[in-house]
Amino acid sequence: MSTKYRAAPRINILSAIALAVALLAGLGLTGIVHAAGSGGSSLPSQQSRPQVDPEQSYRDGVAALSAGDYKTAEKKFGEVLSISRKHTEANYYMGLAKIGRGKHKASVRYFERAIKGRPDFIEAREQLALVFVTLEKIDDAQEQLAAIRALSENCTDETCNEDYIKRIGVAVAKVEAALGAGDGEEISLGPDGALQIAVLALAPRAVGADRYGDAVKLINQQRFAEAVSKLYQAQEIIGPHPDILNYLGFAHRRMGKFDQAQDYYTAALELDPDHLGATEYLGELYLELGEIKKARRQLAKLDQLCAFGCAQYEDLARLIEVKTSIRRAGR
Amino acid sequence: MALTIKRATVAALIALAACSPKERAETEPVDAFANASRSFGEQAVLSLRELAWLDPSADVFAMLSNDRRECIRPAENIDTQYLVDIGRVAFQSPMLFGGLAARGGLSCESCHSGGRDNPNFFLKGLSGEAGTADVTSALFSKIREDGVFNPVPIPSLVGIAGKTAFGTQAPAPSLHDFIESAVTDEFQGAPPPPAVVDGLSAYITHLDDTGCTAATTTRAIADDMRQARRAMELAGEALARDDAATADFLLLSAQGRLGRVHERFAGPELKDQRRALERLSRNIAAIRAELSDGDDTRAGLAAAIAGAKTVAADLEQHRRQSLYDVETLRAALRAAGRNPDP
Repeated sequence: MSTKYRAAPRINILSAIALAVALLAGLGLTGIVHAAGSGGSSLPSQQSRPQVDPEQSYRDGVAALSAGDYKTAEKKFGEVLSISRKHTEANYYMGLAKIGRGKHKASVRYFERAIKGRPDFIEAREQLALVFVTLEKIDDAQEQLAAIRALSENCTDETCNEDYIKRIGVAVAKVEAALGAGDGEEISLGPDGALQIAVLALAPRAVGADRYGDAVKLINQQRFAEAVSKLYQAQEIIGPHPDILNYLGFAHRRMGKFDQAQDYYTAALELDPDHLGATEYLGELYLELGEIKKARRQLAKLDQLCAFGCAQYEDLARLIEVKTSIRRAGR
Repeated sequence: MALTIKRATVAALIALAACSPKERAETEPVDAFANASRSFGEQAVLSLRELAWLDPSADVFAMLSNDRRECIRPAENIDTQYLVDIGRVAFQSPMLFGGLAARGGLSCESCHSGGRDNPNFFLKGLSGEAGTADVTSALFSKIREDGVFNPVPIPSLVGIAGKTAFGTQAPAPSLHDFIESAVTDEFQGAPPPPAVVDGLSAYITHLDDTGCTAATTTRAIADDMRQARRAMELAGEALARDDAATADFLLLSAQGRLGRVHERFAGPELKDQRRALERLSRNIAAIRAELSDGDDTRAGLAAAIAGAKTVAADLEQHRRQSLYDVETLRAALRAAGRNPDP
């Protein structure tokens, strides 16, 4: 899709972004189905306390954004972020919702958080750069442009394919055009990243579950970078989910990115403090960092959670034993 | 001024919101085992692991209320009986496996119900039609992925002892080799103790349809508790044979079996029964810890076996409220949005 419009400088770039958001709304009318969650229990909770399902709020937010209901989108992504503050996609979409509401300045911090969570999030960098242009923060926009260019220079792993490089090129061109736009000058919006990512976000939950399944297979084959890419896609569709965050942590840990791994495990445990996998793998991370006491704490928690035994406890216990033996032998 | 007040109010509201995080709803799992209904704390109605791999379009009620009958010929001597019994425990224990299979609660029995096929087995990403599985998928295996989704019908294991090759897509020259490969290669398990592999081989070899009549048996508390107790008794026998590794595996499997019983004692009125099962399992865990320290576990084990009998008797008293009762199970299925009368 390519959209052209005549823009006055700066202020009309705002419109360009707004148009991207508006086109998102158009997508909602093209027959893309927004499916409800599949399977599972539909039992009503007996608890009277208000409940927020971050996954549902996320999907409601995406639906609202696609319908052009930016106020609801803002509210829904706010709910998500109240539970999972660093969630990359929710921050990105909150940024778009803010733009839809005309709150461009407010959108900055959400795009920045999305980028902090995932430095190679091209779409977030692109939107942030465009917002900076509209806010006449040219140096900041240039900085984002440089960061986008650097993505292609530092692109080495298996996920660095032709599409990715092409996407970087599109973002660079758009930001450059915005920076160079003058009065009455025509600015070309190419296939917009916000739109493309929204197409994925609007896919039925089952598609997200399939991407997650693909990621699990890739992890088992030690293809961690590709697995991360699939997990991002699953997260884009499903929203904040402890299973996805847990495997994001696992894959990052196996790639040696311990800080990011810890962030993901922490995020998984924020959503589900009793998540067995995240509890186990955080323990394994501590072991890799040589923090055996902390690993033992995770083991003690698993012991509490697994009254009838569980693989997570057994595996972590075995690894602690191995690590302890190695330490003893080294003394 | 007005703007300042407004900003201050907004800031206060934001701070208030931050101080009172809203309660989270329960999360539906996203993985291959997402079919299982999730509990809502004490209001748990139906949270049975096996629902995850049962074809939702099949007669789930029949599958949950009955067990496929195991047809097995008698062992030739006490030593073989010991191995066959270990094999049965291992066959039904998820702790034989590793990776996602163990975490999801899958065991040999999940696919080979009663040692045979399982026409109602269905796991998304692994099955094509119900009753099939892709045994060369990376979903469970680190090394068997062949890049093709090629599920095959799950075969019966009855009468396979006379074969010369075992397995359809990764054939092994002997049943023993096939079992070891299935556990470690297909399901990422740690190499089991030798007696466990021998036991599985003995168990499968003794599966025999001859003279076997009824196709199913009703799922009963007594049977499940008997299996848990038998696993503990076998652990005692393994210790008498100086085989601590096998004893440990058997005790862990006994815990798992108690967990299966626990799942069927859902609901607030069965809290005491659940606690009794948890206590019993914790006692078994304590025995495992003693075993690991090299301590004498005989007294503890005898007490746990006796305790299992007492717990089983109490559970029987509350069977009507549990999911062992067909009407309670039927109601729970309905409440969980599943049709118990297809």
